[in-house]
Amino acid sequence: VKISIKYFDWKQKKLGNHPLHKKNIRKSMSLLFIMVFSLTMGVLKPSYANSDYSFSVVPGTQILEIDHCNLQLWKETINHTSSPLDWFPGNSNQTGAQSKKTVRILAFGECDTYTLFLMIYSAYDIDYFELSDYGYDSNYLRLNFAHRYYNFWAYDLAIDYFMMPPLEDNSYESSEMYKILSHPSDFSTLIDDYNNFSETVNNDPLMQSLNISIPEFDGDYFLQYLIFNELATALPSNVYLNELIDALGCENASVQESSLILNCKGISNYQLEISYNEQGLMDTFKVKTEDGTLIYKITSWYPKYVVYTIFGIIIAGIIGLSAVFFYLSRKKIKFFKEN
Amino acid sequence: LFKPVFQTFKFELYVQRIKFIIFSVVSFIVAFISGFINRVLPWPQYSFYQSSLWWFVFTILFSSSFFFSSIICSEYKKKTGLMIIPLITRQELFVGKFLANYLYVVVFAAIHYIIMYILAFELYGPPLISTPLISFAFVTLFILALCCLISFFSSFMPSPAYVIIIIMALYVFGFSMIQSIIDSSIEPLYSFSYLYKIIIVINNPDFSVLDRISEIDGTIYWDFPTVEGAILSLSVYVIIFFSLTLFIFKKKQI
Repeated sequence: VKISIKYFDWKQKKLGNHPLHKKNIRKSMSLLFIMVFSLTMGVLKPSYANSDYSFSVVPGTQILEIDHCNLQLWKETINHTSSPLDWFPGNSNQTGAQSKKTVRILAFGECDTYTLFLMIYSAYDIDYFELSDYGYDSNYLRLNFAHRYYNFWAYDLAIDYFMMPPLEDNSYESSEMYKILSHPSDFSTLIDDYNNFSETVNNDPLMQSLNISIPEFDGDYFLQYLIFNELATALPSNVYLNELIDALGCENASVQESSLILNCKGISNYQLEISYNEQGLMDTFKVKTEDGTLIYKITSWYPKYVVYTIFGIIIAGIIGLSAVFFYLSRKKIKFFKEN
Repeated sequence: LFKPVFQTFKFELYVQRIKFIIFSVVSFIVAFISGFINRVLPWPQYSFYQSSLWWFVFTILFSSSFFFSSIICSEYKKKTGLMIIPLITRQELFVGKFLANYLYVVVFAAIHYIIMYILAFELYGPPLISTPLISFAFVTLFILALCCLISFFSSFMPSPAYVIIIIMALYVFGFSMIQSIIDSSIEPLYSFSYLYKIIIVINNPDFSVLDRISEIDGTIYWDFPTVEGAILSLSVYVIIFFSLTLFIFKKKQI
């Protein structure tokens, strides 16, 4: 079958036929396919910041589900008065409860020391207003830590806390912008600055007289804070996480493939294991006893994979039907030729 | 009565099938790609439907125009009516062709809604809100009214190209020009661009409590029609232009 495009030849003032070669058709089809594939799979993603890592979080929804919850073992291992509700709001102590997290906006940029200190204040429940009243405000920080800027990636996350299904629409309880540093090693500079700052504040006679002090930085504690505050990783996750725990100076954390493992102490020792998915968001969350018995587990899935399956079925159906029609038409042509 | 209509309906479906496949494939690709390149997710869920439907009106205009612009004038231009009309009445021919083309345009719109709904599930997860179903009901009525208007122009225009140009011009400039001439206190229920807004706004579950009118410097701005107003206006369009088209087609000499 010869395919051609009709065009008007202005020189000869007549209609002409430009033949389309199979090679050209194949080339165009391949190019179109690559473009569609790249767009859909996120290969042609805009670069967000100059980093060795890539930030792969994309807008969309993730559903989390409590897969296993042994409250008895939790209380015996972690604390008699604690429960999963301390870490995950809602009905997080019921197996089968679901939570929905929707990434809405992506951003990137540069922030100063003051902005990141607010994150540390929040982790240690430090009263910023109390510090500002005595001169340790944003101006103080910006003056003393001038010219220190940190590249970050950020994502706005709307969260529906854990509840028994069915989930409700537009009922999110929290919406916040979460940041991760493009260079996790920058945390070491930040921690040095924070420790210098805490020393200054704690040695200030006025602050001492008012009995105001701020704690020293503890990497393991801060990492745990980050985990429960939607810590995402850039890719490759294992390299990023390793650099992060080194920069934070964590003593009880390690990385295995794309999982972060935190050894904690409660009534007895226990382990937090957080694995990260291909976007760099939390995929599964496990709490285990020292001997590996599972206490608590959260799994997650993306509705987009259901959609891919539906599209896959539709496309396979179209291809199948086309093949059947092609076969039938060939059969018809053969029949007419023979008769 | 029904047999010739059904035969015409079947024949028209067969004739227009290539046009339908091309439109459907284009719609599928556009909706599919647009759903994946979102860097900012419209929030809440109904905003996604609203943003997806904002430009869909032009797709409806193009598809309706391409399917309906030649519904009558081509019978005269290609002289096909001379062969067919003696066998069946003109009303039967028109109704059969109209129903077949209308079905194609509605199915085409349904494809857009289905893809939109699937993509919403991809982006927002369960549960999906049901308001797009009401919006789709309005789209079918909107398409019906639009198709009647296009058929009306097709009944006396010499060629389908003129019909397409007139419909596009009417939608893009025509109604807004009329609106600027007429007193702003009169609700522009005659305007298709105004009536289309209900298809977008009704996706909001709080539709019934939204303000429809705003006033700036003494000029009244109508944001969207009421459900009753939209149904009534579109129905009036359908009745008037369907009857007029039938009347002109019956009286017109070949």
